[in-house]
Amino acid sequence: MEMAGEKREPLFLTTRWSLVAGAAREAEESLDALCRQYWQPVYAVARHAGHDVETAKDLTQGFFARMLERGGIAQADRSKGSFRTFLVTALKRYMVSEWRRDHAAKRGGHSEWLPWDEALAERIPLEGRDGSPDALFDRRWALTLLDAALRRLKTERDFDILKEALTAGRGETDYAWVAQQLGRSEGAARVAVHRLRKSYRAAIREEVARTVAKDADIDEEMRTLMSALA
Amino acid sequence: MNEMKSCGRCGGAFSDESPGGLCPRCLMAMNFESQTMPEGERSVQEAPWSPEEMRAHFPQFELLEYLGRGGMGVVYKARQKALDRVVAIKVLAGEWQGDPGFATRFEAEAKILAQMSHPNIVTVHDFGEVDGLYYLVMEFVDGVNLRDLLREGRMASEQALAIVPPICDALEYAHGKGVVHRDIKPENLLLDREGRVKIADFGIASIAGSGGEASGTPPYMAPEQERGRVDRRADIYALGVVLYEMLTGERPTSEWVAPSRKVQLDVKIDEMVLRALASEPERRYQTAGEFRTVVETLAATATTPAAGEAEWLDVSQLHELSADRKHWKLGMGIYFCRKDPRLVVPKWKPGWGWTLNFAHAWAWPFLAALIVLSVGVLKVAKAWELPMLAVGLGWLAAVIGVCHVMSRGPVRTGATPSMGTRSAITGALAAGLVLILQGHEVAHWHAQALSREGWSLWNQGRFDEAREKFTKSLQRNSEVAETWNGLGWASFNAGDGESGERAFQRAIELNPHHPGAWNGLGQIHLARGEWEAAEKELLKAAERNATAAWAGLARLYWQQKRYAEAERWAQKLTLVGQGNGATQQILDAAREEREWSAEQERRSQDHAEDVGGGVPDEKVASTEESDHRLEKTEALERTADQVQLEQAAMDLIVAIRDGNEATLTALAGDTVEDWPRRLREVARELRERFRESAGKKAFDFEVANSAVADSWGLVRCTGGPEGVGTCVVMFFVRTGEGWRNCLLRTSTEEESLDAHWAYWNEFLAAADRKRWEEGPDEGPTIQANEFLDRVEESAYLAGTGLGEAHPQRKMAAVMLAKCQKQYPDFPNARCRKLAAERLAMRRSELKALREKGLGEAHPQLQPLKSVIAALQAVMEESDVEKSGMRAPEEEGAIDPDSP
Repeated sequence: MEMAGEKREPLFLTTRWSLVAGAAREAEESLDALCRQYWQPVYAVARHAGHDVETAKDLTQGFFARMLERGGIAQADRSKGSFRTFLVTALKRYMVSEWRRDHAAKRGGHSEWLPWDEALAERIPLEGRDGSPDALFDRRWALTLLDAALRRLKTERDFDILKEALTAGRGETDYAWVAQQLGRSEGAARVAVHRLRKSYRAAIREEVARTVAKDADIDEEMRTLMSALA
Repeated sequence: MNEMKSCGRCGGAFSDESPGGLCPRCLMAMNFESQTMPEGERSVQEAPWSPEEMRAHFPQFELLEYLGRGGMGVVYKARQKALDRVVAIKVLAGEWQGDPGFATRFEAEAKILAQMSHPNIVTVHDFGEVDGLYYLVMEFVDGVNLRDLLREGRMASEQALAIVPPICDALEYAHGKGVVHRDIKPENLLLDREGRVKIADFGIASIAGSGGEASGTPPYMAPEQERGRVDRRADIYALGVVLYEMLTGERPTSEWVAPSRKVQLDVKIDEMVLRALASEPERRYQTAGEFRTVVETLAATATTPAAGEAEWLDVSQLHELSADRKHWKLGMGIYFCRKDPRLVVPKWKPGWGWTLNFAHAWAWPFLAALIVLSVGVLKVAKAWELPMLAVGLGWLAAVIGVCHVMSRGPVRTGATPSMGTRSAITGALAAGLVLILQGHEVAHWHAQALSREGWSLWNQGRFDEAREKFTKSLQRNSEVAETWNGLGWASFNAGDGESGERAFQRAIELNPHHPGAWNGLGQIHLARGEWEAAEKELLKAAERNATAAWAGLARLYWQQKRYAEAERWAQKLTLVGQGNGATQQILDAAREEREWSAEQERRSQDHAEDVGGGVPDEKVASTEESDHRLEKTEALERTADQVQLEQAAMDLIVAIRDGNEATLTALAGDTVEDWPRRLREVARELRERFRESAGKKAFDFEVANSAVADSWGLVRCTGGPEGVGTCVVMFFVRTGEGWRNCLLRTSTEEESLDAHWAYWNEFLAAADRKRWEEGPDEGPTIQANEFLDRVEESAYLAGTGLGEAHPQRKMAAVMLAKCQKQYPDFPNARCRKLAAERLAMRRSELKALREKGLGEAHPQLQPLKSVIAALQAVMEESDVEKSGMRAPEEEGAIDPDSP
């Protein structure tokens, strides 16, 4: 998984959900980064449960605050399972315990733990309201992960022109057109597409790897995510 | 809003907000088609050039045949018209068209290649570039490549070893000219019809490689090749891989296994392969010539161990041998036949058993193993008091079974029996010896086991049975102080003080520092009233921190009216949390005594003052006293929370004892599904169990310790009847009405608080899981809350003045309707109760807004009023839907301020 020559935060290369037990400072930062990335599925579940926007937002913020504050993650058995399954279980427990609290909790006084993109949060269609929270969570998780991987690729050259090729099947890509857009030869276009695909695959694998306990789990996690999207 | 698009490929829905604006399903699926190369790569290799195109490009050649894809391009068979010879033309793929340095590199490399002339290297005749296509004209080799051979599986080692030397020759030659191949692999090793080996594609890899990028075929690449530092030794590595593949039929993986372990080979070949495949170049053969020499030597001397391939004989043939009387000595007794490879043969008259073939070298070890193992088994059986008859018969049956199996075959040629048999014999010998020699150890294990059983019985209060176990244990090993101690306690508790005393003394003889034994002696003497002896013994036990002894000492001193000392020991007990009613009594008595003597002192002092002379001692006494008091308060200080919690716990115990179902229900929390009902059941059970242990004070419980964490509380009470479970653990949840119980269980005193918390967490998680698995519908409170949330949301939106057709209101209406469909009996009593709570809150919110000075028509007030109306409707069981959706103007009839 070496991407020689590309600048990368050292965090990403070694972050494994199970390795986040090392130096306290690094561990916090890694956890922080992971949480910031995966707030969407949590929010989706909160909304799915019927909460309005504000409450769902509070719930999400509160959940992550609790996770990060109390070192709840540190206590989890990280040799088994993935970050995703841990999070969904903890979320359920959290939501159940929140039922016992006052609904109309005083607003304000929370410190904002996550940068909140309100517009984005609400623009995501709340599909599948009849489904179980698990399915929704996993689906949102998969989408978030794809998003994260693609964001990494945005820095590659000509990403916007080439990105269609990421989902193209055999023989679907019009290399002549691509070459024209790039202002290069067709052969060069083919190579560029190939390189982007390679980078994309590596990016996905890395993102998945950050959330599982050991490398052997990566493939299974990917299969699970695939079925979550189906 | 988002527009949902449909993916042309998979039919799934996605929108602009999907990652990258692409279909997520296809994006994900892309990661799985990994076996085949992605389209981009493959098409580089495909040569869509038709023969016509080719002719146009290469007029000087006559195209004969398309031979196939190579690593870097496509190969054609052609006839060079000018020289009338058949050649191969390799056209390199056009990937490098944009690369300026390519042309220069190509030319340079091709020139070097053209200079190479060796019988085992495919000659390069010419090279060039035409219409953007780079090509090489090479010698045509009429034959197959090594990959084709390997497809049929591995080859014999002689063959493999024969192919390597000529390759080494060629490599030596090329290396001498400073050229490294960099891409040795079976596809590049051609064999012509005469069986000559030729290396193709020399140096192509270096043409393709643009500095830094690793080129070559990964499975054959030496480790240092990935870093771009390549020299001749990389070729040697690749050749090693090819050799491995030839010998075993498989490529070596990262943890590869020596070839001789995969196939029948001489082990010397392993060394050679190992060296060629060394990760560090320094450890490999440094030149191809060296490699060749080793290979040639091995080829000459290696032998395939034919002996390994054993032939299987038909056992029926061997019967002829064993039927022959001349092999039998002493009638049917002793069998001696060299030709017969069997170790165990059936006796001459079949059905009369089996015997050993004493011509066999392994016969004597077999016999020895059998005897030794038999003795060992019998010894163990005796030590463990297993029924000898059963064991004997069982062993006999096992031996018969083994003989039967062995004599039936299958049998191999060769005098040595199989590895398995040899190992079994050696193992049996060893095991038998161990059992015999360590027989006494076995007895010890048994003694330990019996002792453990004894203690467990003692804990349950079955003292006579415990005595038996301990006695039996001592029969097997009488040197264990702890067992004597156990016997002592069991006897004492069973009422036999004298035997107990003797047992304790034995224990002390063996271990002069055994606290339990000293305590035991002390207790016995205490019970008899022999104070001096008891005191000495208890003190000895107390030295070793036996807290049980402290209680004894406290009682002893109290009985002797030595209050100060009694107090001291009683306090020690309290400080470690083992105080109980008796301890408290002692402390009270001691305090009274002190106060009385202080009073006396004062009186005598007054008296003395009248007479003259002060008494400074009083002051000393009082400071001591206050010190004591301080210690006590610190030890007993608990938070207000804990005090409340413990009170709730004691209330619960009382309710259980009295069977007061109403109180039980009141004290039960509803955190866990249906707990109130279950609590009553548990309470009933406990009452029954406690009553069965007659003669003890069944409900004499006391709080041992308590802990509070967040809104959870844990109380551990000790007491109760022995043998049932010496403590009761209760879990509480903090509610608005105080602590409520949500779990009750009995436990032993050994379990730590942490263990209890862990149990509680698991229990809670399981309950949560259950609730979630059954859908968000489980849990009456959650249902009700969900319902009320919908009601409030609908009412709220209505109050904001949005029209009924507004999508948000529509959505809310749909959700509410769905909810009502799900719970047709709503609003039920619980809903109403919760609605009342919410109503109160909303009202106070409204009041606050009004106090702020906002007018009645203020947009913040209207929705709130609407919500209040809706909640009221819930409580009055009127039609919720309608009232919730009413627009604020219609609200006049209901005054939100009325209670």
